Amino acid sequence: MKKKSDVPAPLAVWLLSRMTREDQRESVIDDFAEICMEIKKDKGPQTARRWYWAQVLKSIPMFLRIQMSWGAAMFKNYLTITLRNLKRHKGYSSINTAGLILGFTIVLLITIYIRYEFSFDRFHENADSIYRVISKSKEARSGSVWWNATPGLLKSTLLNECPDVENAARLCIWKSMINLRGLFSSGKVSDFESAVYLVDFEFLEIFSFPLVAGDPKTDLNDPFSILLTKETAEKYFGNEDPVGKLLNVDKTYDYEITGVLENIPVNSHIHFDFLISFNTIYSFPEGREGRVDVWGSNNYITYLKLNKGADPKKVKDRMDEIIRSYKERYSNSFFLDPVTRIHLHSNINLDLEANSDIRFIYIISAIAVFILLIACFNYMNLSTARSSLRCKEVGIRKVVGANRKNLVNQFIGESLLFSAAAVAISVLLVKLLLPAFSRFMDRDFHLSMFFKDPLIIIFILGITLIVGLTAGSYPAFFLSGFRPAHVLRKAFLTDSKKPFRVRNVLVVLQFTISIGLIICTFVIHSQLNYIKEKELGFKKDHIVVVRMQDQRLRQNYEALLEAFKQQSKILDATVSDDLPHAIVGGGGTDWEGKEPDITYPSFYNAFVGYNFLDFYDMELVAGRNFSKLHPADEKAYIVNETAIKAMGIEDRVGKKFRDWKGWGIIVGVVKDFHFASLKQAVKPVVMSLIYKGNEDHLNKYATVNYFSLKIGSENVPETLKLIETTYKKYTDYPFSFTFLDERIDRLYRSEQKMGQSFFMFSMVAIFIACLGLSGLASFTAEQKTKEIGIRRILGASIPGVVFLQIKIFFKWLVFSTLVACPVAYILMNRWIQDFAYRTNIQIWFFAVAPSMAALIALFTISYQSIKAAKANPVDSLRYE
Amino acid sequence: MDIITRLEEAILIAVWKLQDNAYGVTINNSVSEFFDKKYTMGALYYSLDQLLRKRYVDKTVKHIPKESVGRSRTYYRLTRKGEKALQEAKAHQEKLWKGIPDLAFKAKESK
Repeated sequence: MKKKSDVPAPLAVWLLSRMTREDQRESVIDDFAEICMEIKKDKGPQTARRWYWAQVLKSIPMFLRIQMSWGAAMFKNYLTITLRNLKRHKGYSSINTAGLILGFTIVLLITIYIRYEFSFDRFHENADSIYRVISKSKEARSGSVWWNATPGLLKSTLLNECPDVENAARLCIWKSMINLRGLFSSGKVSDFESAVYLVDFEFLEIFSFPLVAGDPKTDLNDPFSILLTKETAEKYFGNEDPVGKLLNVDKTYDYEITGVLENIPVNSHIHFDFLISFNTIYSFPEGREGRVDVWGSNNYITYLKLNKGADPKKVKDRMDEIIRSYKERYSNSFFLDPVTRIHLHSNINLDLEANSDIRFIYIISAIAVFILLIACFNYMNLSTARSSLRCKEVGIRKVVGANRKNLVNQFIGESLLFSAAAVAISVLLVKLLLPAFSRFMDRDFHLSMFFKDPLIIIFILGITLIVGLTAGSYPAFFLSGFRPAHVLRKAFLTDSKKPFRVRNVLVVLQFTISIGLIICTFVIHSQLNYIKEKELGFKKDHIVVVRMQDQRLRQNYEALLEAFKQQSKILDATVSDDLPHAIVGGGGTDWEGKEPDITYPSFYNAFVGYNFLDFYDMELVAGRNFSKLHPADEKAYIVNETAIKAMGIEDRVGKKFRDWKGWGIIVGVVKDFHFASLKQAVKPVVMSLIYKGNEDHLNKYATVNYFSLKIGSENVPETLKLIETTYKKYTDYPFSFTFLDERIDRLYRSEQKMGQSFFMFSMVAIFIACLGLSGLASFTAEQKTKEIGIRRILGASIPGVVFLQIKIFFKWLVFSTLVACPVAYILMNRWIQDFAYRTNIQIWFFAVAPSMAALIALFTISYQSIKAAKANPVDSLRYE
Repeated sequence: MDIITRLEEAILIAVWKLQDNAYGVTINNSVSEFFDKKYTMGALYYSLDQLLRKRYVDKTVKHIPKESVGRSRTYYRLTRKGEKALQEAKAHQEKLWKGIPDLAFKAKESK
């Protein structure tokens, strides 16, 4: 069904019309149509259409040649003018582009960071169907606590009874399972290793950690088989093939290497050097007594791979049913957590690694947006300001015959050129800065990763286009509308009100953002400082922590402890399984007089030496400390105030209490101390003695993980040497130590990083805003040269003239303050709510921040203003 | 006064002969007929452009009925100046040929 109008083809007609001059267009189309119709009559529509197309196509090369030669000539002219302008106004141009380049660079870096953060655990082939099971324990009177731990029996139960679970694997995080960490030795090389996990063989089926050598199906079947990463293999075996060789751990167990893993990417929520087959657990003393595959031991992370399309909600419901059918009064409930969310969203007990925080991503993206906005505003501001200097050029171009379209194209093209150049330079800068940035952020960014990422490419191109178009559109459409006669008569366009209003809005926005950022920096800084300075409830200075690695020494620590105590340079020494700032793990509890409707809430627990409380200057609010004079203290408990509150009855001393170790007496109540990050409120904690004597009491599982040594403040290196020699007398394990206050600082590493980067990026934002302000100030000063000259002649003083110029900016500043303060307050108030312990947002922040902005603005503007005011009026008035 | 080219002369004659029906295709047809050779439209437009610029012809755009593809058609008409140029061209021609016997050609032809 060919219509008559299809000959000639409409597209060909359109093409033809595009290629002909406007004054000839109508007649050409008409003529060709008629000829075409004739051919159609003679030879049929096919030939006619073909003929028409041939005519059109034949003319394309010629058309293009003509177009190009004229286009090129004009382009050359535009380029010349652009470069001349650039040269003539070096100051403006460099400010203008420097701000843009700096802004782009920071924004690109932040984009790379954000993309990287979202790439965590995405490299697994089935990333979207992998979940970990986390549990929530209900606590009496103290809310609920999330644990990254599940019972050993959960895996097989889910595999058997929940059809949507395709695969499942356990990873052992048994705190007291000491065989997992230890001195690894290949005969030639030996070192202490702690990145060792015990996993089911399904672990490698669920996750995509590829093997360089070995068979993922069988490698982790047999007990005492071990996989190691390429890096680790090189460390222990050099260039030799490690498969089949033996690794000795703690001079006790020999593991056979069955395969080699590819190195673990940084963007994974879990990092390990060794994987040991799960079946090995049954050969360890802890695993022998049927304590692994039971509901009672929450010592495993369970990873699930669901069937494609399975609904995790349904799986969770089914899981609840199963749990209820097995254990009616099970106090924990289980939830599914997508593995790809762990890095940015998980901050629960027993997380394998310290994770990042989605709120940080939000904050940093907001800064990126602000920086981009400020840089673009600057660019727009300065190019519009400068463009009014180009009225004459526009006038002449128009007189010579340029139409509006030409001018729009010229200005937009120029602006695009600048933004493209700025982006190109920033990409180079990013390349230079990336290694430093990646060290700062503790990541491994590679440029190649990102230039393969289509989203980043689109982002870069998009930014170039948007900035170029927005910055160029204003001068393009505004200037091209001038009437040449009007423009040529005047040098400046001082009477146009409209651009000024737009510029004011932009400056106000910049001020607002800057003031807001200063306030936020203050709040963040004061909160982080608060955390750092807050009394933790125990002494943390001049304490050296020596980690015990030798298993035998951990069991028989007394001799070493005594040896430490006898050194005069070591003021005191104690032992514990956890340090007071980081008590992890715990278990269900019960007590005399517990209401029956309360399930067995989990309390944190720590094993400590006799003098632990004295050593750390912890205050007892009731009862007494552990004492060697009371033999029954082997089974006694000391709890904190929060635990007392959780149990509900005030007077607890002397009452019976039980956690997972068995019944005992509460002998004392310790004042609350912060045994975890200050982001969390203090939770109930139970302390019991490290004691090995009593077989029926589970205290025998207590291990000495840390020696804490109090030292004097002078001659620290010598004291450390002494500690090492003493240590070496008792074990041949490598010696390593840390200072407790440093360890505590490390708790807030991510917050500190956040604070630092916030500070850094805010500075950049404010700096870019200053660049823009100073550019604008010099522009206004230049525009007012004549006015200033006349004022001076009529008797105005220099300060008077300077004040006149500064006044305008301060009007904007006041307005910005009014906008910035409430917004910053609302945002920061929300941020600070995340901390259980927080400082107040001080009123003076809201006074100081604008004053600082004012000072900075004054500083930037005054130079230009004073220069303008000081200029000899004769000079400024001479130019007409 | 300029001396016009052969093609321009032919075009002017065609426009004059065609009277109210002188537009691209018809002009091309009659010019092609004169010289017994097909002219491309492009060549014709160029010459028409020149003639327009010299004001030997002028053009009017008229809307035409819907059955054709173009919406309007450009008609050409001789101006006074064009008529004069045509007459002059004819005079030049005759002056040029005056006194040259036909025999010379006949001899050549018979050869």
